[in-house]
Amino acid sequence: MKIISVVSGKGGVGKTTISANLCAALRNKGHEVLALDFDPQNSLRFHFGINPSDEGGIVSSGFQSSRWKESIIKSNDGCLVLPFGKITESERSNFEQAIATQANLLKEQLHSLGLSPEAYVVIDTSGQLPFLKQALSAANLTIVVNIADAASYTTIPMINGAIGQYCEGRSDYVGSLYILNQIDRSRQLNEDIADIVSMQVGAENIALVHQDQSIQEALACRTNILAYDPNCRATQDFSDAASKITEVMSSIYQASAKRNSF
Amino acid sequence: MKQKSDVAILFDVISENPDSYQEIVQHQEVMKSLERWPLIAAINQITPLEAPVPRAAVLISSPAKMIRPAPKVAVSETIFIAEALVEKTSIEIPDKNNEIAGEASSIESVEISAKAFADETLSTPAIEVNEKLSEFAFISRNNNRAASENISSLFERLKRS
Repeated sequence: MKIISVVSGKGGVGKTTISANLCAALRNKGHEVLALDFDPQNSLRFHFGINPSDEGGIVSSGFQSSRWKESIIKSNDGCLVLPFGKITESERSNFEQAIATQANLLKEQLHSLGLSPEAYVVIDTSGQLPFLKQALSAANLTIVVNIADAASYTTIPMINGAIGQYCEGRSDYVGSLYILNQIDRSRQLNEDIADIVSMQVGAENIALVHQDQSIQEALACRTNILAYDPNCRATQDFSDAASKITEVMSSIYQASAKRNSF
Repeated sequence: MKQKSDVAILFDVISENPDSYQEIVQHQEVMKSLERWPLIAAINQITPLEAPVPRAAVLISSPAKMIRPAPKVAVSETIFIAEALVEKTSIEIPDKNNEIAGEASSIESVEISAKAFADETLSTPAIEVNEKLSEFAFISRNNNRAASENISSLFERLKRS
């Protein structure tokens, strides 16, 4: 199981949209994919065409792995989806207390699901600290989502600090991929920040998702961008990003398998 | 599939670490980008720019992460930049042999204040820049000369090898 935590230091950068469409792109490449909504907003499910009246999810299932399994829904595009679930304030409080006190709760829950070693788990992570800690502690790869503007850029050091604290140094941690979302090449600031971040993190560790109205239209039609418009720019962007992910993850997986064979 | 550039292959031929090769033009562009946006430059002053370590190198050394701080192996490129500067300035650089051996940090070897750079090169002198940006400024100002010397130097070493 390869766990990818999608995080950002700022809200409203399109984390959920990126998570959902990356799941679709990975699935489109033939991988087994579980999309996990780890955000009380509970909105990831809408990208997978799940009925809005279906309110089950991880929180209402508690922390029994068998109940998490029961909450998994298979979407039309073949992704497995585990929604956060609709909850009351007291349920939310209990859940937040549990994840604040048990450091590796999410990681343990995911490993108890019995997914194949090749399966990808993509976690759409809330910006709240207890959620962030859990998702980072479980991650093999982090995807840092930003918009190419100043407000978003200023949060990169903060999120890098969190990644440094909870991910780096772990033998099962691969690294970070930075996604700049809603890129508009006609804007100088967008272009400049893309250049700066690219040089900071390395061109191989950055992926761009261009501004594309089809992304919003796909959500409104309860589907993903690949199914909605296979030939648009954003579809190509998500496909490229998925290729980068599979390339680095398979390299690590093979390296790990080689080491274990000795 | 990502292809190596000719220069990177040249580094290979002369048994240098090709990972130390960096695009000067890219640095120049980033420098210009930072000059346009003061807040972005200020953020970079707090958390300096980091040169990436290519994924392949990281995979071999450690699976822990893809991104690393600026590697000290980038000495060969910095040496030629320092050499190019010496003729026009009084900046002292450490012994070349020590740098090749990886003993000295290439960036600290060239003494220049960030303030001086800001006064001299930026249209908005209020912006303070960090040492990394100073390095980029030097690269920008001496690019043509440095680039030609770099290639010449590489070919000299190629001949010797």
